[in-house]
Amino acid sequence: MTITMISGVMALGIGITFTIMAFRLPDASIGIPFAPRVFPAGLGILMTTLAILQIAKETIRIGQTEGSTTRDRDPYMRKILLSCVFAFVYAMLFERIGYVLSTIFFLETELWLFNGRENWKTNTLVAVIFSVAVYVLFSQALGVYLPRTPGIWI
Amino acid sequence: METLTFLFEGLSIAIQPLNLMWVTIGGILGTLIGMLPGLGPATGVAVLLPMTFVLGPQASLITMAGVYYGAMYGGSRSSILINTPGAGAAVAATFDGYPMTLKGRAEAALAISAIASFIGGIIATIIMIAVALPVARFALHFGPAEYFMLFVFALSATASMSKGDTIKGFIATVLGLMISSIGIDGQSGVKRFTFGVLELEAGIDFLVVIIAVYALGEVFKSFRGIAEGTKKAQTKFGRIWITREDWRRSMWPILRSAPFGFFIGALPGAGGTMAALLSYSNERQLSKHPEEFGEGAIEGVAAPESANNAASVGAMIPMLTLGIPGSGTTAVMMGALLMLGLQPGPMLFQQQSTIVWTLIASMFFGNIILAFVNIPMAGALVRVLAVPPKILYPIVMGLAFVGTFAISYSLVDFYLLIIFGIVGFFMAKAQIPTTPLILAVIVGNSMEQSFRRAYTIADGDLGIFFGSPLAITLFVLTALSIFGPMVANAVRARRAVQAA
Repeated sequence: MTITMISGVMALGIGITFTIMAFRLPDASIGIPFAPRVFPAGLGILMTTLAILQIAKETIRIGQTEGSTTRDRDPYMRKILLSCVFAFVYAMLFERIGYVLSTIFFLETELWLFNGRENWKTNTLVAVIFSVAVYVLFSQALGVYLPRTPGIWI
Repeated sequence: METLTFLFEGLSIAIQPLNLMWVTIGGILGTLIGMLPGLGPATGVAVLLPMTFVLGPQASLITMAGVYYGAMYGGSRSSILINTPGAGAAVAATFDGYPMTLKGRAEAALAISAIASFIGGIIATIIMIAVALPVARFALHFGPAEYFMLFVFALSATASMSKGDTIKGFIATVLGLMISSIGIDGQSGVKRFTFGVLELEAGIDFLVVIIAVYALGEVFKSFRGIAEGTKKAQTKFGRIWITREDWRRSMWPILRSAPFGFFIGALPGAGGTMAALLSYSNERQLSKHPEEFGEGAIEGVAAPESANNAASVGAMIPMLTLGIPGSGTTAVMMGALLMLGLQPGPMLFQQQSTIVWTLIASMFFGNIILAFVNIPMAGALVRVLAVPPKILYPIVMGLAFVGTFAISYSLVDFYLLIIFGIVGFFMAKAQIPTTPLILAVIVGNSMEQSFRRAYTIADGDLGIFFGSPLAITLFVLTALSIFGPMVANAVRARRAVQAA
């Protein structure tokens, strides 16, 4: 399946789900009762129609250029997925261990992905300087609250 | 006369040392971000935006405008030096700018790009001053039905003019509108699509979507670019300036391209990239030496640079006067205005005239400062191109997270940031344009409100959307924006078949 086809199928799924959910929304207690439903329902129907058009167009295109249905795998997908996993871990650690420590962890992992394990010295330096600098800039200069590490001043 | 009074008021505030400092800081940061391939003005404004909130509305807007113009200036630095546009709008600067560098004329290319950007920006600002009030006054005549049709027109023009095919552009638009409809409905109190999550009741913050798509999505995309390696940029320069002959060749192209770029920029959907490309092809047609274009013709750098800066000013017109952003970056700026509690649109000129005119006035100073930053300091600034992106991209990610947290102090936004980052990356992979999504997320709420108001006034009769000449005109424009390009393509295909 081509990526365009996958996006078409996903759009179709979103369109149908959204339409069904829109029609099942409760009535408004004031004004026209079905008013809150009209706009979302319209969007759902529009998305469904567009998705069908997209799938049809892609089906015709594939039919015309046979043999081009092989999908090229992105060799960087693994890194992107890992990136997201680390971001989720970062989000979970953020308030628990404080901004500075969690950000050092996050940047260290991202730099590992981007810059490579062998450059760990540079990576650590960048991670520590960035985290502390941003903490100082935000919490001291800009007055934005950032979670602190329990038991430590920062 | 009235305009001049407002303008002087704005100038007197914008010239205050603190405000000049903000526009300078914004301009330098923007130039640096703009130079980095992949990170354009939209990303720059999105990442730096949360930091400007604490400054208050006026300083925040001035800084952001500085970032915006700075990124426009900076984008062409990397086009000229490493043949990689730092931002989409700088793509035309690679056509002749890079050949100039290869011929050892990088200094002249850098200088003319900054000079052209400066003149383009100043001319466009003057046009903006002249047209802003009349447009805002005209917009006061719009009722909710007309406003809704205007939103429909702006969104469909953006969708059909964006890269890739039209259907994908519309899918992105509808997805954006869907995202904006999540949360408690403002008029009836009905909870919509919240899935029982308490934090979703207030809706998904558009800034989170913006930062996710423009920062995270771009970083995810950059994994491929990093593996391909980076190009080395020239960092040693002679005097960065142009010859008299260079100026003679560039002057008219610069002056012609500025109003043209402004006009293109003010159209919904057509942004700096289109303005730059169109003005480049215009100049090639007008030139006595079209064969020199692509080989290092200086006017081939001057014209698009003037046009794209003028377009970035023009794009502010629909955003400020109508509340309809015409490009990704102005969409982000509109997001910022809304966040600061200012509703862009005709009323903004009446209720917050000082803020608007200070912003407009700061465009003058911003352009002057940026010309200074970009000509004598160009050699120092381009050194940032030597910093490995391998280190910069993780830092952009770090800024995206801290920025998101600063907006809402909510961890749920972290998860949304990651999810929409993935959505943005997937869209780019499937060649679905992201600009229509961002535009739709930002105007979605106002669009539905005007729909609902009109719908209630007409007691549920949809005929109201075709009830006035203005609404019908907008409907016709919408239809043209959708089917015009399709018909043009079909005609072109037919001609090609006949010619074969």
